[in-house]
Amino acid sequence: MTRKILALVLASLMLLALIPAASAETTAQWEPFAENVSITIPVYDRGQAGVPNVESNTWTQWIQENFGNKYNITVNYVAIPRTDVMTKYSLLAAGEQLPTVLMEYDYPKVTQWAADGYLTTFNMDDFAAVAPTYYKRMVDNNQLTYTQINGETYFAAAYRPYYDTTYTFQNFVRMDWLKQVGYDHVPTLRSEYLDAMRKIKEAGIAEHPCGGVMVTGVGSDQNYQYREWPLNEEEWAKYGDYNIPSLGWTPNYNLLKYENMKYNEGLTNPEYYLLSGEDDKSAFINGETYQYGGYISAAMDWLTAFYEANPGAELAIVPVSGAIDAEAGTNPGYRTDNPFGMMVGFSKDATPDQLKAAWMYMEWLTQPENLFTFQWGFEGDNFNYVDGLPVSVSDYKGEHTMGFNNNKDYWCITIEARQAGTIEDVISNNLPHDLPQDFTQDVIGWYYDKCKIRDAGWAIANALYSVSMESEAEYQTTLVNLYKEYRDKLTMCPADQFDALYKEYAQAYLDAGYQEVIDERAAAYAAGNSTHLLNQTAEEVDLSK
Amino acid sequence: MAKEKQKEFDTISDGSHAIRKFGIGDLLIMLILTVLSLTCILPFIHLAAKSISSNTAVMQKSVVLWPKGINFDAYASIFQDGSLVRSFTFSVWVVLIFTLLGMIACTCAAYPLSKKRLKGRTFFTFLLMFPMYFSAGLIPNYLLLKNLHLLNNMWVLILPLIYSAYNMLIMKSYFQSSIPDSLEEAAFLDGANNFQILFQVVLPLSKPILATLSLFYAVGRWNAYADNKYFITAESLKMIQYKLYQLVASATEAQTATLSEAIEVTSTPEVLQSACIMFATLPIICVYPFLQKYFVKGVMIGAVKG
Repeated sequence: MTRKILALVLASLMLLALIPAASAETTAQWEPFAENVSITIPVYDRGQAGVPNVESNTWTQWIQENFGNKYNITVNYVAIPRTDVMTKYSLLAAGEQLPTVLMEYDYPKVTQWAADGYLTTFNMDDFAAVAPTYYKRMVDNNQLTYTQINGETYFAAAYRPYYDTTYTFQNFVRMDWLKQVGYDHVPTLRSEYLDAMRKIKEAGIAEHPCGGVMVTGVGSDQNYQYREWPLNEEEWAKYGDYNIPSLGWTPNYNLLKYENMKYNEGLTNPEYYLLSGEDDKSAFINGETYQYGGYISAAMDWLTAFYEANPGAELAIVPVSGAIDAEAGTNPGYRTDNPFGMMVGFSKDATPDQLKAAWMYMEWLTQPENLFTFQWGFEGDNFNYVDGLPVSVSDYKGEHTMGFNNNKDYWCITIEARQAGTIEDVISNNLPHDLPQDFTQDVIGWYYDKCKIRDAGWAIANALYSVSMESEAEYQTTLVNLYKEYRDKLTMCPADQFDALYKEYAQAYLDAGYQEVIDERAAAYAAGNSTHLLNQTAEEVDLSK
Repeated sequence: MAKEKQKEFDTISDGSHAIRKFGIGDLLIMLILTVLSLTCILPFIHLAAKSISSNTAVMQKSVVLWPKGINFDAYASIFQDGSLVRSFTFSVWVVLIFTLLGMIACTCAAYPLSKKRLKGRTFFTFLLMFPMYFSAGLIPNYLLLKNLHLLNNMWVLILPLIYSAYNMLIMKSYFQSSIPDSLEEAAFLDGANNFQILFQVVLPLSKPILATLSLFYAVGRWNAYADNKYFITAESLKMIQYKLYQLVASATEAQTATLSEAIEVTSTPEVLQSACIMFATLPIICVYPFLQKYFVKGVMIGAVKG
């Protein structure tokens, strides 16, 4: 009983920073609607096996019983295929069946909706009056900037905890190989890294230790550590986005030159362009490559497979590097996630009552007791308390079976991650503990080091534009495909041909539409229709303490 | 000389020279056919092996044609979950109803158009053939179905597609070429009306084409999933092929979704994916050998113009 009380206290404490003391009073002040109001909330349908019907299940009924029935609101859900979001919304818009709420992670998509007239504007003060908890959290996290387009409020923004530390993505390396070639630590400087890779290759441990994977285009070759500081804000606005790789920009040149060097030295797999992400993972599991990176979670099947296939192997995570590596031309600069989760817009067809009902839904789901139940489920079924903290039962299949990723596609309207306890507890909860090695302390240390780098002003968020980028929509596919082709040729060409080829391809890239893209971005930046760099002080970082 | 040539091609009664001399051309053809067959069979065997292998072996990509770490957990999971089984049953019902209604619609269009005495025949033929070349597109179709209150309804999987211009053309050609006018004239003389002629004379003689087109309808409906994707959201109305599409598509889209959501977006494990595909495909493979000849006949019938 004591443990349960302690756990409830901890769970409430974790959200204390997010809620004002008056949150319970807010919902208590709500009156039920005189006439029933029907709202429709979109939910991703990911086609996962073993997941209950996304439109109607125990949890949607729970929402209706505990929220909808109380305030005379009928809460409906509409499935949105995760693989074809925009088409589905287009069909719904054409059929005048838009859900009350429209939400997406990608800012360009939601601005497109605003441009297409799917969304209504609203008064943020009205929103704040109905959903003060949600509103205050947006204020506290400096999210209000992202809610407006041309001075009009279109969106509310869900909260993304720890968005600027990116601890959830970790690179795992073969520490046993490093020890074999005389290293007692994971190299972070380029000279050390290359020395280690050469020694590993010479020792016959791995033929191509750097491995390699085909370039997929979007998100490839992120060059944040190659950027020159202080950052030029206009350049950042024009070239800094990862949706279209920035071929022709100096940081991209430096990155590709390094890739070319590794390829010509035989450190990269000569057939990397044929290997998918799954092949890369398999190569690491089979003990053919030095490194593999992925998001951490409580069940990392590829790590389990690695230890089964390589008994006795030792892994380490790549530590954060706070060093400015002059020889490599790199620095601690890194990309943060977006400072928001879902961007939540509201249908142009929504009545004032429906808007209010939707805001009430968002506020209600933000309340700690409701959010906790929706994220963790019911004690004894979906989770149990261990040392006062909730731990999910991974193989539960019963009446309260949760949706994808612990009902995330429902509560993502308010927050992007589950949190229980301190950051140490959250990290521990997001790592497997049944493997030969436990990485909890390493990741915790990584997190705090990353905080130091963030606080020293090296974090870079991508530019977001409050206008629809038509050239991006028109040219993105072409440019991404072209980049894949040019990038492979530049990687595999002889070193003495690199500069000439890079110049040639950069021009061809511009001619293929990239010039129009950067021109449109520059125009949006000049007109004040983009976000700005924040806190880029680039101070020296001391990770020794 | 002629006798010698005749001997070369004749079969001798004891069957010892049943075929003519085996040449290089025959060898080449057999080689190509073998390679083509293997391109169909080997992936299937690979999938079957994966479906009963351990997750580790599959992630290592060490499973090729023989399973490793044999277990049937994935199949047990499919039957335990039950949604695929329900979807399979639902799909079978939809296919059966779709095939029946499709054949009725096809027959009702093909038979009158096969008669030269039909007034306005050219006009009706044009009208019924036009959809073969043009389509309104997704959004107009969506709006039409919405106005007809067919969205999220089992009948949206049946009614819009029961008329096929291609199948109608095949049936019309068959009626024109295989049912002699004299037979119908005789029936008329005996006092039969058009419906009696259709049901008691024409259709009994048209069993091959009925069987062939039934198969075309059934296979077409079984394999299609686009309408399921756009017009259905209810889980209970998802057909098995759409569920398989979602399983596979979510795996290929996982990387993009991961980048967008900044978390690990897990897809269904490969072992389970393979088991689901096998579950949906095995029954068809068991039935197909009995229907193969109708497919072959159907190809030939489609080639006849008239």
